Amino acid sequence: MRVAISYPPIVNEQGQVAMVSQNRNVQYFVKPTFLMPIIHAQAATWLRDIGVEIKWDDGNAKQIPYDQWYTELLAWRPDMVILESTTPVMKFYWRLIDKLKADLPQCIVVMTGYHSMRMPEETLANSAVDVVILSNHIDFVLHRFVPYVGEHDHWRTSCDIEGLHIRVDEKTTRSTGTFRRVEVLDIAPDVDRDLVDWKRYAYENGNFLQTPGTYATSVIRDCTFGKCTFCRYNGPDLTFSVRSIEKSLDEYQRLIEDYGVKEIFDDSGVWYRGEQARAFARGIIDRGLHKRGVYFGINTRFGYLDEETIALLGKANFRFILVGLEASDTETLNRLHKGYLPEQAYKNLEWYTKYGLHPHLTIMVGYYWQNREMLDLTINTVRDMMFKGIARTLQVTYCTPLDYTPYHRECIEQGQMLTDDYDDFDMSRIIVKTPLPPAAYAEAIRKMYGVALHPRFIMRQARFLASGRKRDWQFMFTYSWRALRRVRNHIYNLTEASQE
Amino acid sequence: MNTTSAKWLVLANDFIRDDTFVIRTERHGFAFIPGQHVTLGLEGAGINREYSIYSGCNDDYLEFIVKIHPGSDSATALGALKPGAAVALAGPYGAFHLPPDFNTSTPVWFFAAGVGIAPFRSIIRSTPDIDYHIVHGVREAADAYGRHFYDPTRHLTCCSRLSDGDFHGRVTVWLQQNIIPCNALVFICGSANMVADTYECLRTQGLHSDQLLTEVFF
Ligand SMILES: Cc1cc2nc3c(=O)[nH]c(=O)nc-3n(C[C@H](O)[C@H](O)[C@H](O)COP(=O)(O)OP(=O)(O)OC[C@H]3O[C@@H](n4cnc5c(N)ncnc54)[C@H](O)[C@@H]3O)c2cc1C
Ligand code: SF4
Repeated sequence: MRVAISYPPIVNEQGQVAMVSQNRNVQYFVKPTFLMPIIHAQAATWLRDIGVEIKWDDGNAKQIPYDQWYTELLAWRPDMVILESTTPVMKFYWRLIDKLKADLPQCIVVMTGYHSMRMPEETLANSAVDVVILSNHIDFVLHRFVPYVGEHDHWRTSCDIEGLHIRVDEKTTRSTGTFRRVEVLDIAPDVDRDLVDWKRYAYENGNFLQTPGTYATSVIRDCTFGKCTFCRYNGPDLTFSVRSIEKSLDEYQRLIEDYGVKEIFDDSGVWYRGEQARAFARGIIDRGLHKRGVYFGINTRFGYLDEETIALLGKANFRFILVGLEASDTETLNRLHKGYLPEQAYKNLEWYTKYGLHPHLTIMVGYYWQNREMLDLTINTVRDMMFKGIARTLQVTYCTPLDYTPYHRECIEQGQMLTDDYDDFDMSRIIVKTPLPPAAYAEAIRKMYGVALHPRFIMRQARFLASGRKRDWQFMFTYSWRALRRVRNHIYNLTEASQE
Repeated sequence: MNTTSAKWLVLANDFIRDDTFVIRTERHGFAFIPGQHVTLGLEGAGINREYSIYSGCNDDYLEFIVKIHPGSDSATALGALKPGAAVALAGPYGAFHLPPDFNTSTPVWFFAAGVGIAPFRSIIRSTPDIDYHIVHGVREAADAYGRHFYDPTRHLTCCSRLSDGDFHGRVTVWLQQNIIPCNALVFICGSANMVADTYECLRTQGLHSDQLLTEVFF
């Protein structure tokens, strides 16, 4: 079998590239960030290990034009092409699949990703796709499914591997049932870095202060918490699976010693907490990996890491810590099922900074209930956190209902959506009814990004330099211009969108 | 009143094993579906963890059964609370419960490891008329928390360490020797490995994945 795991280059009219992989919220950037899609990379590795011929085909990371990407894919004559979906690019994918099936009728096209996983019939109805994978554990499904297809001519009718929606013939499709929510993660192989051209993802990534950087094979699939209503990792069908600490530490060591990486980020929805987090940090220290000048980064949620654990992470040279502060008013936090209080956010941020970590806040605006008071509270809290220096960087987006998450369904059920055209879901504008005009939310985003240029913020950053820590100097000189570029890019996007 | 900001006072806190306690708090009309969980932490501590509700929806208090593991900070802190202390609680969360269109004639099988029994006790306490069976995996019979609460003909302990339960061996070994009705709705709750192994055994018996619901604790 010849299997291509493909990410077509998707470029909009402004020449901006869509960042799709890793189940990110799609955004278009002129200067894109390249994120390695870890689970698909594990799938590629696993399939290769069982003798499947693999084409790792990330047209975005290769930075090639669409036509070239398509021609090369056809020329390779794959037996199967695996794609990854999310709401804003669904229509693009449906067109692509139809063309692919017309040009390569024998090729089996498999759609993965959270959008199609929650709406499989829709993708089967709107395109000539052969299979929709209902599972987020696509590596586990594919390593069972691909050999099965190779061995069974009548796989469309006979296959009962759970978590698939299969086109049987022109008129019929069938589901093999709910997918396995829990898999033993240690069985899945570490990403083969060479197979997936890891260097293509090693430099253009705003999360890295030092390069080359890379994403670790995630220690947690989905999220231990998994309850935030807007998040893809929330669903009655989802839970979480955990990878063992030792296996992950071995990978870190290999990445540092064999690949010379300078920064490792684990993009698990939320990383280890409690004793597991401490055991991991102790493992880094015991192996001396904290003395190699490499930084480590994670996602967490407020309420998961206590002071003792954070102190240990600081000692183990953890630096970047990405945490969602979706809003600062209790009503919004409750409605989003965030499970923490605003004051807990302060306490956690103080601990992160006390032990030298660089907290990065992800903030959203434009919830369908967000009034002036709620919005101002969020702006003021974020500014306060940045001025106090307990948050170092931030990212603000419109909360866009996507991928049929609980928030997306809630917006539909309550008649709050302004559009159902998936092309409008690219996070460049508000697509729900809001109490304030859209310009108010765009202005809020500008105000929050504007903190990076505020003298009080710059002064606070300068004070960090007194610590003499290398990472603070790097932050000042390396990260700042990247942040500025990001600010420009976001403001450009917002200005374009609000002019339409 | 389901919110993250209310203050919840501890009414009782009793160790039922050296490392396991049942903590009871005020309820304040907190609505939940049996099987759901909350996040629980010390008031003002900035840290919380998920705990399944152990009490029934007709009880006028909330109860949780908590196990302390090596390095288990939050659990240790919760275990030290005295009646009158406050906890921070948020929720309820999750979809690990009987489906809304559940037919009470459907046999329900609960597979639990250790404190993974918590959501099942809540379901049974709230809906005692269901046709249920519990298979509870523990180290020894004394860990079969609240065993007296269940109908003995519907409750079975699989003891992995001592042979003082109904079956000596893990739940998965028991499953190799016993068949689950093919129309059963099955809930599995415990560690990721226990859930994955139990799931595999049940699939091997021919149960469809749509019949299997899972909740992982760690
Ligand atoms: C939806 C959900 C519901 C839960 N309900 C309950 C519940 O009702 N009662 C309960 O006691 N726990 C429950 N848990 C598990 C609990 O949230 C975690 O164990 C939590 O990590 C405890 O926090 P801690 O700070 O005490 O320990 P941590 O420092 O976070 O963890 C201590 C160590 O113990 C390990 N560990 C955690 N749980 C277990 C276990 N059961 N057996 C063996 N090792 C373990 C962890 O992997 C870690 O290494 C639930 C978890 C989830 C996701
Ligand atoms: S904590 Fe983060 S990753 Fe987890 S469900 Fe919430 S938003 Fe998603």
